[in-house]
Amino acid sequence: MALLEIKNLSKSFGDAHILKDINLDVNEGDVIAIIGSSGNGKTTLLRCLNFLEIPEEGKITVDGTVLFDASASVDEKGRKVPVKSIPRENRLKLGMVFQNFNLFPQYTALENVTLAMKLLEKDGLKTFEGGVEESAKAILTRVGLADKMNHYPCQLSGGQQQRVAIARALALNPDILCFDEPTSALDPELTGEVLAVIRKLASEHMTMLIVTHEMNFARDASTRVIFMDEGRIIEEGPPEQVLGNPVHERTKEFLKNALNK
Amino acid sequence: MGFFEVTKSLFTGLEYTCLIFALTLLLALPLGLVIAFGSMSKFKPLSFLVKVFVWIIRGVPLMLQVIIIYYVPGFLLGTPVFTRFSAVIVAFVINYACYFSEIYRGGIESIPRGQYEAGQVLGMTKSQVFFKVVLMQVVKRIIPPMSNEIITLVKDTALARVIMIVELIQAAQNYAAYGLMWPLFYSGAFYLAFCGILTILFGRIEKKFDYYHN
Ligand SMILES: Nc1ncnc2c1ncn2[C@@H]1O[C@H](COP(=O)(O)OP(=O)(O)OP(=O)(O)O)[C@@H](O)[C@H]1O
Ligand SMILES: [Mg+2]
Repeated sequence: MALLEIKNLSKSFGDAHILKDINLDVNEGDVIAIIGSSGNGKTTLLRCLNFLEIPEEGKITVDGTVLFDASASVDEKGRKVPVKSIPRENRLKLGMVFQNFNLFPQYTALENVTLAMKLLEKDGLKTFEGGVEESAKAILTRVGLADKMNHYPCQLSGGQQQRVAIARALALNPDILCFDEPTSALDPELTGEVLAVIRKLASEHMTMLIVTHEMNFARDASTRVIFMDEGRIIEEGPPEQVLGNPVHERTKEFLKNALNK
Repeated sequence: MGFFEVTKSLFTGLEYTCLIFALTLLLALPLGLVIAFGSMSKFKPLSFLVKVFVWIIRGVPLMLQVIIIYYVPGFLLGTPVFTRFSAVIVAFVINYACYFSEIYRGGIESIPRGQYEAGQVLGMTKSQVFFKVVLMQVVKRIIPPMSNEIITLVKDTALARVIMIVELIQAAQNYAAYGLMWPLFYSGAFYLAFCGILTILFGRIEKKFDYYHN
């Protein structure tokens, strides 16, 4: 059984049908690169998986636990109703790293990592072996920020901020970590350090979904590439195949433009 | 009528000035937050009503509001409702709460959505996100407009005299009737000192939040 199962996922904004019947199985240790041109729903897909948007249709299962099932949402007369809220613990199976980091500016790197950990522990939703502070420090060390723990985000470079954001997400031990263009807001000379951290996580078999425009990174760091077009997954497979020998016309066209840049 | 006597009576006036100032702050700061939430409510009729209310209160002179609150309820009911002092407090609290609410709203709405979303994907509840993540950033952002408004309040307390409360200026003006002008300037010095202290205080608070920027 796949670690993450996405079935018939659909999402609209008003009349605009953005995600159309997305189906995807992600196995443990998969590193999935999601590519596609602008406006084709890549961000929306990750946001739906993290319930920043609530899909209208579909089912999301992680490790056998159903996190979301639109068809199960019915009122007392058995009529279908939109899902309004998502239980808090269902948000914890997946983690999210944003394009523009979204660190909390008033807290140090360490506090950014420990804030949610402490709240979750207090509310009895999670425990952290070895204590919150210690495990947060260990994770910041893992992303190469041992000497920056007490720095505020404004005192860190973009690359360092993004690594704090990765540590913050990682600290809650999600089953799957989602990245939305993690290096797009960075100067070119800073992308390397962030990609290196993601590569390291991949080598440690962290399951990840990564929306990226870095084709080289997609080629050598992912186990599978997904090409999205107009709200659908129209091509998927190993990186050599999708990036090197695509079947679909749209994929070929996209890659021609992407690789010429 | 020497310096000592004038000082003494100006201090009596200052007492009212300080009381109006302190009570207004104490009550209008929290009430303003309630009004801010009302005007940001997703329930449209509520936010509409609150916005109209704020528009009226901010669009009509505070002096008129003081007069109306003191005279009108008593006139309608045929018996006095508010004492002079409580009428002033009610009018000031409502008026300043509306100004504060707009400052709060501006501050809250200026926090990027990403801050809420980051908190949400980390499994925090809505109220945890507000109190642990957003609030402190809002406070930092609203200190400058708040300090402006609060310094204006110091000087607005003088409006209480329209319903015969002997606040600082009225106390000084009483001497003008005897041909004594210097108490007027003396009372001005009181305001300067009051606002000076507040300016220093707000400068300190602003400094406290200087350790980070966005
Ligand atoms: N909250 C929203 N309300 C209305 N439309 C939205 C909303 N969020 C996204 N969209 C629309 O959905 C479409 C897909 O957006 P999305 O951000 O998922 O694309 P993307 O593939 O991530 O693009 P990019 O590569 O530019 O990041 C776009 O046309 C966008 O305008
Ligand atoms: Mg996007």
